Amino acid sequence: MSQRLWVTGVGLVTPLGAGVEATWTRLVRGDRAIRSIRLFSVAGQRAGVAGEVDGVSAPTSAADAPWSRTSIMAWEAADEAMRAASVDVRQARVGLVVGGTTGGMFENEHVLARLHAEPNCRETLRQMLSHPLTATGDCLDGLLGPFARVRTLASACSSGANAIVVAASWLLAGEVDIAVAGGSDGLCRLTLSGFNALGAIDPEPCRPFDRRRRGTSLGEGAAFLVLERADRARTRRGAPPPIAELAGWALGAEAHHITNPAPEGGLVASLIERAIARAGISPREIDYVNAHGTGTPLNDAMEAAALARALGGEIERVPVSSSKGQIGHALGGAGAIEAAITSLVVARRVLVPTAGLDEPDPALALVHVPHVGRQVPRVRAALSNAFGFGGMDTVLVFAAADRAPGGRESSRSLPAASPATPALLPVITGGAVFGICGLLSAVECADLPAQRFAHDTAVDADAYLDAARARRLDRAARLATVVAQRALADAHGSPEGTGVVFGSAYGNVDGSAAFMHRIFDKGPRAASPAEFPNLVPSSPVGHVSIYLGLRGPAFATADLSASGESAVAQAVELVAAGEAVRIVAGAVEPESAIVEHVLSALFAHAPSQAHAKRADLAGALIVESGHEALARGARVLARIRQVVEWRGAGLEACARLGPPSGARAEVVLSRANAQVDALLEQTPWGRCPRAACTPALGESDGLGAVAIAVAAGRIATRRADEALVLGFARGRGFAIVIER
Amino acid sequence: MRTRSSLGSWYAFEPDPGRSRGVLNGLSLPMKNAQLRAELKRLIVTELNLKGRHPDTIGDDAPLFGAGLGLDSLDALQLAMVIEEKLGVRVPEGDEARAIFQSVRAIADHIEKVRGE
Repeated sequence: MSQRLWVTGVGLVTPLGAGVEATWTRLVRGDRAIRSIRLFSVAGQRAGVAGEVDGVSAPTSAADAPWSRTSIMAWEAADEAMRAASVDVRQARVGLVVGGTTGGMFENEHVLARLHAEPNCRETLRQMLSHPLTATGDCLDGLLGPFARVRTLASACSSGANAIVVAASWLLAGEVDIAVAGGSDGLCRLTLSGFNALGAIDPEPCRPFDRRRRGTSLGEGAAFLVLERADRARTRRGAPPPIAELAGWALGAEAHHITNPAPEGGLVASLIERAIARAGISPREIDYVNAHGTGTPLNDAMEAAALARALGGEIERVPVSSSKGQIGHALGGAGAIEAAITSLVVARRVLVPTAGLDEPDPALALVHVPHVGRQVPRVRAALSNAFGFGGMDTVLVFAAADRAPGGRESSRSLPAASPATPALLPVITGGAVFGICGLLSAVECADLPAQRFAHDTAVDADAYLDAARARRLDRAARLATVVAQRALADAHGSPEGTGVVFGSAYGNVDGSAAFMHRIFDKGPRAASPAEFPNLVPSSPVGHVSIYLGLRGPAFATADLSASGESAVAQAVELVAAGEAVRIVAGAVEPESAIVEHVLSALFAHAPSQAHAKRADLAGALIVESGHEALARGARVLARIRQVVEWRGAGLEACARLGPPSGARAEVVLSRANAQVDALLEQTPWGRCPRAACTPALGESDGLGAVAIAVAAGRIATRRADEALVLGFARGRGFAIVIER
Repeated sequence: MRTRSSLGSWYAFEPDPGRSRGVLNGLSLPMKNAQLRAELKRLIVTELNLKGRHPDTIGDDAPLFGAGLGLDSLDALQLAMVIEEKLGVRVPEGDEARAIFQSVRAIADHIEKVRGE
C-alpha cells in the first residue's frame, strides 16, 4: 500500500514578484530583490537592506477584518495555489495550515508607537490584539474557505515547512481530503532591529556560502502548497497533473542554543537521513538541495557539515543552492517559499541559483549553482531545509511525481518513530498545572475546579529551576519549563524522542512592546539581542526543549483561548502519525499587563462577560504513543478516545461526538458560558455533571490545558470513567474525549 | 550637535546613544579603571542574569567566555549593547570584539582607551 502525497498547486508571493511565474522567471535569471528598505525608516540600523514585496493591498471584498501585510500575502499565495489545483471547498474536506512568526507585527508597531506616546489611550489599546498569529488563518478562512480545519503554528524560521508536515499528517490520517499549507511573514522593524542586534544581517545583500558572507538579508513573502493523496487526486474532477510528490520529511529540535545552531549539525544530518529514508530513497537519488543557506557564517558552516554527513560521498555530486541571496529570509514564510521553489525545481528540472555567491567558501565542500539557474536532465528528488530559532529544524523531500512505484516499499528500515506503526490512539501518561494553585501533578488536579485560590498568589517558577541554566528564560519560558519538567517527571518519561508543543493565544505581547519602546526611546542600537529571541511565539517551546534536552518535534500553536486544546490536539496527531513517541503538550500564558488592559477595556461594556484578573498559568500533558506506554510499562492516566475540532458554531462537529459509554461520565470546561451550555445540549453529554476551571484559577487563554489535566486526574483517581473536555474560542472549538 | 564643556571630554553628556562618551547612572565623574571594572562586573551579573553570583567573585583577568564564566556569543552581544548604552562606548563587532571581551580588565582597558582618544 502506498499513500503518496502530491503537490497539485503552488502559490508564491516573494520580493521577486507576485505569483509563481513572476518569481520563477527572475529566480532562474539570478535577479536579486534585496535593496534599501522603503517600508519604514532604517535610521540607526546596522543594516538596512531587505527583500520587500511591493504593492501589497488588502482584498476589497474583506473590509471587515483587519488585514496585515502577512495576511494579505498569505491570501494571494493561497488563492493562487487553490486556483492552480482547482480546489473547491464545497466539494471536499479541505484543511488549512498556516505557519508564521511575526504575524501583524508591522501593523502593531504603529499601534505601539501611538501607545508609546499615549500609554493609556483606550482606542489605541483596543487595537493592540487585533493581529494575533491566528488572524491570517481566520482571514483566509473567511475569504477562501470555509475550511474543514484550520491550524496556526509557529517555529520561527521553520514554521512554513512545519505547516507542510502537519498537512501531510492530516492527509495520511484521513482527516481531510485536501490540505492547503504554507507560511507567510511580513517585514517589520522588530525583526530587522532584532537580527541587527544579533549581528546577523549583512549590510550588503547576503551572500550564502561565500567566503566573505557576513550575515543574512531579511525578506518577506508567502507560499502555499496544495497537497492531496495521489489516489484521490487521480480521481478528483478538475485536479491538475501533479507538480511533485511530497515524499519525505523529518522534524526535530537541537536542544542546543536559543539562537546558535549546533556547530556539527548532528541533528540536521539525522533529519536529512530520516527524511530521505521516509521517502524510500537513498542519497544517490537526491539531485538537488535547496539549503536553508541564510548567509550567516554559523548557519552555512553547520548546514554544509550536516549535508556532508548525511549525503556521504554524494555531496560531491549534488548541487546545493540558497534562494536567500535573491529574496532574503522570509522567516515564518521561508520554509514554505523554499518548499514551493523546491517542488518547482523538481517539476521543471531547472536548478535555481545562489545569487551573490562570487567566492565560494573553500571550507564548505559543496557543489554550487552560482549566479544563474540551469536546466538539468533530471531531478529525481530534492531536499528543502528549514531551521528555526531554538534549533527547531525541518527537512522536506520532494520527488518527481512520475517516479517509479515501489519506492516506499523498498525503503530500508525506518527509524523507531515510524509511520508504519498501526493506528492506536495516544494515551496521557502524565500532566501538571502551574499557577496560583502551585505546582500540581494531574492527579493532584482532580478536585481543582472545586478549590479556590487567592488570585494574587505569587507564582515562583525560580524555585523549580537551575538559576544558571534558566538565566535566558523569560517569564513564559520559565512557567512552561517548570510545568513541562513536572509533567515529564509525572510520566517517568525519558526526554529521548520527546517533542514539545505549547499553545499561546497572543505570544509575547508585553515583551514585544518593551522591546519596541526601547527602540522608540533610544534607537535601534538599543535593541536587546538577548531579549529578541524571546519575542518569537515559539520561544517558550525552544527554551523547554533546550532546558530539558527534548529533541523531538517542537513548535507552538495559536488558537486564541483554545490554544491549550489546539496544542494537545496537535500533539495527538503528531504521536498518532509516528513523528514522536511522546510530546509535552500544553499552554502557557504569563500574566500580561497588555492583555489584561486590552481585554478589560473591551469587556468593560459587557458586565456579563466580566472576567477575573488573569494570572500566570501553564499546563501540560504527556501525550504518548500507546505502544510506547505499553512497552515501557508506563502508568496510563487516561486514553484518548476522540478529538474533534471545528470552525464555526460547532453543532455539526459536536454531533459527531460519540455518547458516553457509562454512567460516570463528566464534562470539564475551561470556562462555563451560555454558548457551551447550548452546544452541550446538542450532544449526548448534555446531562453529565460539568465543572469549569475559571472559578479556581481565574480567566486565562491557557485553561484548556488545565481542563485536560483535571479530566485526566479525575479519571486516574477513579472519580470518573470518561470525560469530555470542550474548549472554545471565537469561531472555533475542540472537543477531546478521554477515558480510563 | 554637541558642545563640549571646558572640562573636557569626560563631562560631555548628552543622551546620544552610540557616541563614545556618556553618563554612568547619573554619576558625572571620571571613572578610574578599578571603578570601571567593578561597574562592568555589576553589569555582567545584572544584565546577563547571573543570579546568585556576586560581582566581586568575578576575577579581573578571568576568562568570561567558554570555560570561564560560561558566557557565549549572545552574551557578548548583549554586553556590547549594555556597555554602549550605560557607559557610552561602542565596542567593535566581529574579531576585534573577541580580544576585548577576554576579561573584565580587557573591556575596562578598551573603554579607557576609547575615552582617552
